Amino acid sequence: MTAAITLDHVQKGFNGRPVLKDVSFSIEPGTIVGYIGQNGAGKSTTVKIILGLLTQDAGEILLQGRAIDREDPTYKQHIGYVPEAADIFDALTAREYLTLIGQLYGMSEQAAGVKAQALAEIVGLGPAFDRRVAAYSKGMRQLVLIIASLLHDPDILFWDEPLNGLDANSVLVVEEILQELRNRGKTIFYSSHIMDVVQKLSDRIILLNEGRVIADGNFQTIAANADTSLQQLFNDLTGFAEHGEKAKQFVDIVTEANRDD
Amino acid sequence: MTNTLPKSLRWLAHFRPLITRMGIDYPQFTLIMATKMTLANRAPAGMMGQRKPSSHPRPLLWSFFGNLLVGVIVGLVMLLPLPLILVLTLFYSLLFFMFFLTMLTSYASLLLDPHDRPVYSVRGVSDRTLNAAKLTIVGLFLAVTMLALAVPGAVVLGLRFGPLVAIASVVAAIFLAVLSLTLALFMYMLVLHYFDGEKLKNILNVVQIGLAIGLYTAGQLPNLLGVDVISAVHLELSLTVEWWEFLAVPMWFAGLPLLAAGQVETLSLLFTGLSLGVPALAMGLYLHNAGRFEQLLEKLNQSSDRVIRASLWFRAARQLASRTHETAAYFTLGWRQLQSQRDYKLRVYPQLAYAVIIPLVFASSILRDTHLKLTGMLGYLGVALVIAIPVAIINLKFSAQPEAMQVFAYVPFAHRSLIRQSVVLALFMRLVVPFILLFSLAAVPFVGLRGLSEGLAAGAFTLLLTLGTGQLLLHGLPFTEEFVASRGAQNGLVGTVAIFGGMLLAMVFITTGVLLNSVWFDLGATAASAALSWLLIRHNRVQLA
Repeated sequence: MTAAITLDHVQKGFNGRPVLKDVSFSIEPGTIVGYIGQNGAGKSTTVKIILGLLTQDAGEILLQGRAIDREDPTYKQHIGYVPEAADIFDALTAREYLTLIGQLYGMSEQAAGVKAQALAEIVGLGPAFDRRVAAYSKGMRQLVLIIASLLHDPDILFWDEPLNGLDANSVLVVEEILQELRNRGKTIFYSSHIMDVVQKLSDRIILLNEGRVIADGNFQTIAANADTSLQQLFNDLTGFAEHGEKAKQFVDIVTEANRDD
Repeated sequence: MTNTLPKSLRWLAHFRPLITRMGIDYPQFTLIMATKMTLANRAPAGMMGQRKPSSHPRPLLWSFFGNLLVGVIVGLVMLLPLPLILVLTLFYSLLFFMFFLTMLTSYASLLLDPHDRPVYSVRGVSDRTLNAAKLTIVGLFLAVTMLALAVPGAVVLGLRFGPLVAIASVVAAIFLAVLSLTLALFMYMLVLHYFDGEKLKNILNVVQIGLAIGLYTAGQLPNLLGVDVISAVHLELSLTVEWWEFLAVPMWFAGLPLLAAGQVETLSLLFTGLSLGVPALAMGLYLHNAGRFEQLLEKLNQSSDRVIRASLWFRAARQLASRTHETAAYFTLGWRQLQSQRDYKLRVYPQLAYAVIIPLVFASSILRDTHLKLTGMLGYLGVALVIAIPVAIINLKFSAQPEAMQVFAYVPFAHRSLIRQSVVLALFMRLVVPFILLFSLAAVPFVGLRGLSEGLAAGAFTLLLTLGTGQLLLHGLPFTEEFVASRGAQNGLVGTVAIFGGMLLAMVFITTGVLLNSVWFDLGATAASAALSWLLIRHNRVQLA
């Protein structure tokens, strides 16, 4: 079977500072991949390179077996993307924004509008569909971004912190959507800091640390101890053990008398 | 969204085959433009209910009328009884100056906006298509600006030299606009190519501000150098033109109207060739590399690792201007915003530079025409900074991150006027005081300690005007609105009114000081201004109580 996503020795640096040192992996279709790492580990840079927002310094990237061509962006028709930052035009309504995105993917205005509204109704955005996004809560904006990434029925999804700001019920719905999409053959490349959700949803976990893949496999494979959690494993692999001490120091400072008092 | 082109751009549909041949996806191109026009027609929601969601629903129209007023002034200049080539050279020099300045201060942020790419490029829009759409929209705004600036002048030229000259003047003005835009694009491309990170953002800012200041200075050069120097330049229509006169780019655009007036000479033909050929060539060259421009813009999304330190001047100024911890915090906020808002610097610094150049021009012309000595007025010259204050205050409304001020929606704070006042004081201490101090210290070697008393008087008077202007022009919380380029005409209008009004005030103050030539005037002006400033500050505090 042709891999959905392949990264082969990809490297990227900024201002002489290497961010991705040597990243390689290959992902089969119909897989949910949890792509995790500390802040600044290079997760967003990886996704930006695949989406053509950045160009790698070295290495090759293949989507569905074909090397991506920077001059021909049509490969992006197969991709759905939820960015970490909510890049939405606040002055547009959800209907206007979603039909715009649908049309960029080649859908007709009417088809995009009808499909977007149907999806919005299901996730509870229906009553606010014709209101400007500026009036939306963080969770509502996130739902708009999730719909925007799925409107054109893509084969590969890149979701960066997709649960940001969602309420508990919406989180459950989105988790179910992810699994349903995977069951229908979609490949989901999922990046998050919420380890229990990653552990619960992912068929495979790729852990990035200082620009290198330091663990890759399903949770059971990469966990040396079956009793451990992904959070603990993450802390162990990234060499972070002083969270208790840091929390204590932090609260000590919060609760100490202010100098002016 | 509908991908029907806005009315003002429907004519582009005739060029669909050509646009497609250039590698641009036409449906995406029209869709992006329709979206951009919708966004431009909708005012940002504003912060904390400070502004109605839809003031000025037709920004393009507002921008047009704002610039038309300035265009009428240019038109009046065209009534000067001079030969056609001189009138035309003056016309295109003024247009080039105003157009380039408007482009740098109001539209550069549209050209350099890195936020479009994450929205469009990830959805399969090519860099070339995105850049073409962006450029067309900016082109439309700039064309409206240029027409508003040029049409009144062209009408006057038409009345004086015939309708053909009027039409040719407008055509040449459009080519001048194309050249200015392309020059700016190449300049940005060069900077984007060679620099990275924080340095890139700083260099872009410095280049833009430097250019704007350069334009202002160049505009005042004849006054600084004196008329004798300028009259040495061959401005009459002659076949023996020095090669260096061809460097006066705005002069090229006189070529086409000269031909329309029937002056078919080698020079007018050469100028016409340059004015039509160079912009077309430059634009063609840019379009060939258009996609690269969008890729380079991604560099502006890179984060910064700059460490900000508290300078000695900042600490001293805060100590002087703040009475409580609270006002010190607002002062710090204002100071840091003024330090980091690049768009603010771009819109305000050129006007500030103008305010420093103007007194020098003023002084040099007085020195040429009278027996007065520069040393007698040097200490007072800083007062001319009042020219820049209204624009500096108006722009305090804007921020690149207005949402950050949302913090004042939930922290307890006394009153908005206290924040406004501290921010205005930060502006005064950061942007005005250093120049007043400079003029004052420069006067000391000539007039001794009197230079300091002159500086003190100038400083107190400027403080009063700054506080007063803040009271008049700044409402609500500062830094809470996003600057919308298509509504930038306000900047130009306030700037123009401020230049005339400020110059008048400064002249009255300086002339009185020079004529009275007494330390008692300095002390009296200082005391009166300080007392009125104190009353203004007190008035704010009474409001709070």
